[in-house]
Amino acid sequence: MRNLSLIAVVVLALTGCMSNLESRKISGTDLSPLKSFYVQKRTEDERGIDRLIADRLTLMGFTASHGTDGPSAPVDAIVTYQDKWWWDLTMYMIQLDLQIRDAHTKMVLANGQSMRTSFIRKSADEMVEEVLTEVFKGVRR
Amino acid sequence: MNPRLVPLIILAIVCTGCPATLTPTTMTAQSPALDRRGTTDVLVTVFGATDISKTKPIHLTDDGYGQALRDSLEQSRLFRRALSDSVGQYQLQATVIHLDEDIFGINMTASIAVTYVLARTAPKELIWEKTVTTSHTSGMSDSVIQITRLQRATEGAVRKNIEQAIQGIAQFKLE
Repeated sequence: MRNLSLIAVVVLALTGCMSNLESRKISGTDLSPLKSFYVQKRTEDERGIDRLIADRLTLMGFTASHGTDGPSAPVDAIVTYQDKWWWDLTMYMIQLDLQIRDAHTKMVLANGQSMRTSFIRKSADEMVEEVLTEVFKGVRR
Repeated sequence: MNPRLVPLIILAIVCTGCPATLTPTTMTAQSPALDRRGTTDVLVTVFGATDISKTKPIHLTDDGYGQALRDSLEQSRLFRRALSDSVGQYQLQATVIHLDEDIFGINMTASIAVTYVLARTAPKELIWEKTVTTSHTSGMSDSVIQITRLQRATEGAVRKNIEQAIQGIAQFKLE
């Protein structure tokens, strides 16, 4: 029994605490002129992640709206995202990928990703904050 | 070790093998080259290949796919240069959105879907956007090793995908 407990602890330690936070800017891209954003709601999203992203962008000092039909007024950039969820006693967001796209060409200007397994899970709002902070790190606003 | 286990171990190695990462050379497409090389540069960026293939037996990387795409574009002569880290007159972004690799079978099939977006950088203009889906099957004539057959299948699916993307881009008169 004691040996099994030890193995269980090792397994949990090796599998339960994986995380990754990264962002990437496309060569020649300057995010500092971007002031207004439209968060394009993912068709399958039933948790309102688009609203969380728009709210966080607003808190960061940008103008942001969200929805499915496109922006009602011209914006500087479109935000797209992919949220992945996993079950471990409760459902939690295991990964969030986010792309900042040029409003005219749809080209990705920058992207970010946060991945957290169950033991070090964060709320969806905290995952959104983590990714956006990483994407806009060092950008003069 | 029990000597009777040796054939079983050899059989297991032949049937499964180890995961492999594809190299750009084997993914580069051989499209028909234009007579005259283009006069503009294109910045090529790839997303999603690393992420989507990390749980698959055959791994792709964004860098590897990007290099294969750049080499294929250079070979096609559609652009003067295909760049990885500086701005050109055009920008091509490829996002791998689906990758399927057989795990069992004699004939191994891989399929891949990639969304390509081509835009002019100044003035900013979207020129072409298309999701290209391709697949390729490798049989025993390609290799008796299962993982190698799957590697050939994935390489083939990527090469066909890049070929179709280049055919799509070639429809446009790029200044």
